Amino acid sequence: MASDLAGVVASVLCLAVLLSAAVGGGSLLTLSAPASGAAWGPAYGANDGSVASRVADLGGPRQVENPYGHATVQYDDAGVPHINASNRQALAFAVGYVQARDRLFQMDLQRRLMSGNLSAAFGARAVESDRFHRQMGFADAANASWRRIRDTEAGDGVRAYSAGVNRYIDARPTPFEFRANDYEPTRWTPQDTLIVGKLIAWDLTGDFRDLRGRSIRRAFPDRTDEVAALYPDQLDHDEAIVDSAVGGERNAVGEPRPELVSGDADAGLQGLYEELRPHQSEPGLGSNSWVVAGRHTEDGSPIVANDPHLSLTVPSVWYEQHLRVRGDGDDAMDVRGVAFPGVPTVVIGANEDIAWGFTNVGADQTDLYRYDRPSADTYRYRGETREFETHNETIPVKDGRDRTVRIRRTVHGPFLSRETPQGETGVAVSWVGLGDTRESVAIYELNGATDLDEVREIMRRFDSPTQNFVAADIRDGGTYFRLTGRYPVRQVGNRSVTGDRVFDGSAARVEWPGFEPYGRTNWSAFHDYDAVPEVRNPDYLATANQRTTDDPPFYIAHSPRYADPYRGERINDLLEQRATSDRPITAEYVRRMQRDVRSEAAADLLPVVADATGEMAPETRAAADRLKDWDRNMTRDSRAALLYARWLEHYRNATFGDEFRSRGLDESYFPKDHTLARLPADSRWFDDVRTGDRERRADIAARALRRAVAEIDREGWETYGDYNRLHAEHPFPLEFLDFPGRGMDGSAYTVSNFRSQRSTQAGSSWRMVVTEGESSGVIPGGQSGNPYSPRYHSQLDEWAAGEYKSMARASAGRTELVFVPADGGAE
Amino acid sequence: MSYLTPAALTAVRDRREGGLTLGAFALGLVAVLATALVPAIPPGSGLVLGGALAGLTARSLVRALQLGLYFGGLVLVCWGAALVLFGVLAPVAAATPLSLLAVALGFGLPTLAAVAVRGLV
Repeated sequence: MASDLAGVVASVLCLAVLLSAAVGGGSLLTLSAPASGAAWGPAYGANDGSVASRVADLGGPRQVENPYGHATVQYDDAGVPHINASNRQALAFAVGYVQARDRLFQMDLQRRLMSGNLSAAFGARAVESDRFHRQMGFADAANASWRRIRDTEAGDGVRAYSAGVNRYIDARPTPFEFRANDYEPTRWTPQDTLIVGKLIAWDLTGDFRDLRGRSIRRAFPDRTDEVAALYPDQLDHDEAIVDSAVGGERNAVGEPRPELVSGDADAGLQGLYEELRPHQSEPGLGSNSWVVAGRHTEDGSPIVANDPHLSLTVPSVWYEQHLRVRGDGDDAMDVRGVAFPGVPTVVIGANEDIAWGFTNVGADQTDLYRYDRPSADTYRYRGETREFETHNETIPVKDGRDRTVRIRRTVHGPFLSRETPQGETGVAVSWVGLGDTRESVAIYELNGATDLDEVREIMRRFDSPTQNFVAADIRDGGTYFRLTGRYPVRQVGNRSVTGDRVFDGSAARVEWPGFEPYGRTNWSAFHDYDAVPEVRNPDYLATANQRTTDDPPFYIAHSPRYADPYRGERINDLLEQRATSDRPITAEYVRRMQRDVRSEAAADLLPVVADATGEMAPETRAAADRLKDWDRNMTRDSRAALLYARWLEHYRNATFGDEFRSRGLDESYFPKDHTLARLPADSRWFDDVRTGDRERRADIAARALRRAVAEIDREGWETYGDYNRLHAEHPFPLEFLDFPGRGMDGSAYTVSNFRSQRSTQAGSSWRMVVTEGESSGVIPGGQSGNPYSPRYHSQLDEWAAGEYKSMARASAGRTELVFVPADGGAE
Repeated sequence: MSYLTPAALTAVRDRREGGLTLGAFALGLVAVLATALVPAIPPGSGLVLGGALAGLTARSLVRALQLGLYFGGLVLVCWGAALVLFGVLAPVAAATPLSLLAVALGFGLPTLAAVAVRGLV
């Protein structure tokens, strides 16, 4: 009897545990149960090279019905799909399918972010992000772009692509992230593809930095001239892109500099920048590109090099693809390169005739307007009182109560505001990307371009974002550079003005002619396409986000928006060294350039340390001696590079931190390092306002090095790679989803670019070198977003080591997918 | 023997526990396979069913516990073999803490189910 009782007790206990596991730990059980757990579903089809996959393929490649025509997909060893289709729509459908297969979660995350739908999947923590993105109306802007392009050939392609994505959603298991977070992907629409373009454009050109300048000016009312000198219109260097190009024919004719308008519209916007700042991209995104004409290369073929420095995300920002339309028809093409997941076309790459790449200009594409406000619902405009265009939207919130967001718009764009003790304060935002931009059409056409004249015509439709565009005609050796994007005409009366202030919207100051946010913009009312800087057939030309030209034909941007010139200077030096030698520029030489880690910033700044050794204690002086002997290469195994990197951080902080922080400005407001390097030895900025002494540059340099040495000892760092580590992290807090960390070469100012100190690290997100017959590229991660796939981060080691893989267009191996026409018709 | 155990079941257990256990394990594996293939079936229910069947065949409570553990181990071995065939054993094993939880559930669910059933019948 006693054992019977024990059995019942044990039984009840076990049942209780089972029940509590099912109820309390239900989601974990559902996710992790061996074999059947939701987490494991994506694993079973993740490895195309597995025994199971090969057995399944014995019956032939998997077939998918394609309403647009025939297509085949082969994957190469790196997981790059080689898609061969009977026409461009059939191709787009197949691209949609394979991108969804490899990156559906990433695609969904991007559209959710921009349309303000993150909370529906991830809960209340995303509400503020959703509120901002809905207020900005990015989804309406994508709708406007779709209305503009839907009746074009590119529009047909976007439609077919969307159908391909949806075919995958219908047919295959959802990716891990959907299962782990217990939600399902919704249907993909053409607007979702266009909103991915808006996301990229916003990251590269959307910001509220006009308010940043205002915050700085208000913080230092007593040092107006000194502060203005910290943020000059132009940094003092000779590396402007167009001006340092060698050879070629330039179109841009310098005109008198635009005049500054007064800043009197800046009043009453306290705290707004700080509130909006989280929604703009962090500084530090940049890129390198250069083009070399055939006359400087070994075989007469030009070379295009491009390595965009974007966030090092998991999965990788880019998706590589090789797209081919068979035959001799008008839509025949053969192009390989990288796309943003969600975009059907190759954004950076090469076809049989043309190679091209992009870097960010840094152009000022946003203007802000403030208003006289008679009431909460109205604003004054051109002497009359207008009501905001207003509507409410509901933000669905997973596991929480839904939120309502009030959307207000003026004639200039969305109205963003914050509450202050003095009442509501806000600005309307004009951003070029809120117009019905046509960059998707331009890229679609670029994929099939055959010569540089055609390219130049195509880029007329590349309305946004503003990019340094380099291209080369692989066959005839020609080269080309121009700025893409549309540049608003900013005028007061007949005077051209800059756009770095908040304008008086009530007085209709500096409105952009032709601009219709969310509507049909008249792009021809922007600056004339032929007046936008371009260089035809340069011998060589390099872009590294530095100033476009010393004498722009109109206001493009001021120095805070451009990069320091160090990368540009180094690239120009390396190109010149080789071009003026008796040796040709080769693809291998260009690849070595992309791996270059010499810091021109270190060369510029370190004389300050050498001059300060008299102020140093022996231990600090030993560090200074090490820096003196250093070759300026930011390599992971270098102790001196570590000393320099930490010294610079402390030097910057010791110079500006005391004044800026005491006035409520953090390090994001500090001037550029190029400016720091040029402060005179007795500049007042070196004086530490917290001490009774009057510090000079040498005191601060010595202090910074002393702090760097102490910090390095404290942290236990031995070399630069201990500090400069890769942490590429997945949005989900599961360690196995992250890419493996490692010490890295490179810095923000080296050609081989790696920025470890951003909240999301940034660096070379795609390295590409294209020349006829020897093209190569690599991404910092892998093709597949499936964490169980052998291609999840299969290129990471190559990327970190500065190696490349071929971008050949040859047949890649066995056919894994066949898309068959829905009607069984001809191919 | 429990309060609810029919005498016939006791007799069968005593006579043919080995054969019954094999049958229970086979049925349990089919159930696990079904849960892996049919999304509508709650994950883990195959493990619970297999454990319950194993418990039903056990001669004693301790034996039920043993058989539950054996069945769980068998499922994990079979799953591991499948992952080898799918070429994903290493990344699945690396997917901690989920993979560790899977091992714990692999042993825990059938064992609990086996003891729960054997304690009653």
